Amino acid sequence: MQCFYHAWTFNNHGELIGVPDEAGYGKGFNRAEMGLKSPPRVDNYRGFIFISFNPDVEDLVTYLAGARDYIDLIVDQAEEGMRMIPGSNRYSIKANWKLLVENSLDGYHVKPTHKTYFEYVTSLGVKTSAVQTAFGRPARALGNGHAVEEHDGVRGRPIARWSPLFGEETKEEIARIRARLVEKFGEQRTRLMADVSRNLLVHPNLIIIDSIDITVRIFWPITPELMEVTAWQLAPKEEKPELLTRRLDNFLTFHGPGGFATPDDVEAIESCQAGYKAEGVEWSELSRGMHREAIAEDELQLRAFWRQWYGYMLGLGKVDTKDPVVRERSSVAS
Amino acid sequence: MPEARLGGNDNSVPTLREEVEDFLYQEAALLDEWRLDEWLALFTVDARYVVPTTDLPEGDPKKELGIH
Repeated sequence: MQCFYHAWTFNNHGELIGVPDEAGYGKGFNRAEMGLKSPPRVDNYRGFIFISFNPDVEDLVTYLAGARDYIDLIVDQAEEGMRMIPGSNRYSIKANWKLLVENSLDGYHVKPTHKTYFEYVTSLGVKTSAVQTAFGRPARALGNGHAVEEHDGVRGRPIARWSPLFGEETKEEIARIRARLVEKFGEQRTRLMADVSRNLLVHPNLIIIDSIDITVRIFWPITPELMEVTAWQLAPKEEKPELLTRRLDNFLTFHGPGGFATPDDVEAIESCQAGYKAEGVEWSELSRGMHREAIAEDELQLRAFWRQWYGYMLGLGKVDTKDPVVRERSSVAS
Repeated sequence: MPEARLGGNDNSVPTLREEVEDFLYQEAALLDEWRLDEWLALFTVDARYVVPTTDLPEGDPKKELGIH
């Protein structure tokens, strides 16, 4: 790669391999000392590369805690490993970055906010009743602020749950993929991998949405009221062309910046930001599911994120992100 | 529709290129003015509208990520 400023060239290891007019430097100039600086810590878990600027940070597997199992569930769906599809979606949202964490983990908003999408899906032949009972699986705090919400993949999954939306031409291939998963991982784990969809947060700003496609999304705060988002599509290296095309179409239809969902989400969280700015309200209500075993449409997963964020802000390091046991008040229970 | 000719110099009849240019300006004006229903009406039912990503402008939407 070449720096655009003075056209110094570096190889993939960061070593300096090209300097225009190198004779202009004296004898003391040593290329070996002028390579790119590595961040203090770089580690790789199953193809996901993480960097840290804290040299004393814990090892990656320890940091990932319970999120590791869910990354495994996603990566193991591929026979020959996953790859990032070329091309990225970059967009900005005029809101605080934490609102996109909330939005990405929140099953409660899906039906009202994305009503247009479900009407569209219904018009294509997926039963509305199936869509309406799509949720209800337990949400989990995974330690270190990571969290997941899961739901039944009734809209279909390229791996490996066929739906009418995928077209007849993909039916056989999806059945073949499923049979391979059963052979390798057994019935129970295959059901988790192939029937259940999930939105996973790796604290603080990596979201993996394993659903009708696999969206990988990171976002960076630019100001307290502006974030920049980058989204990619993850797919098995061996995926057949017709299934890949279907996956990409699923992504654009729902998760893409011009899809049925993302513009609605952007509108919603920008509206939230505008509302918070008015400063009339001190707290955001996030208590859903504290009185029961929380499900995807509850907010345990949001609370887990916020507790860890707050722990960092207070300088406490890692904190317990689980809900306290809350007994329902008798007046509510009756 | 007038006869389609490229680079014609008969000022009374618009060339194909002028017609295409006019159409593109008209389309852009509809978007600028947020007249989306009229913009949509420019398309045939079987039209495909492809927007590539900025980092892959020649991307194939069948196998690479697009925006729309």
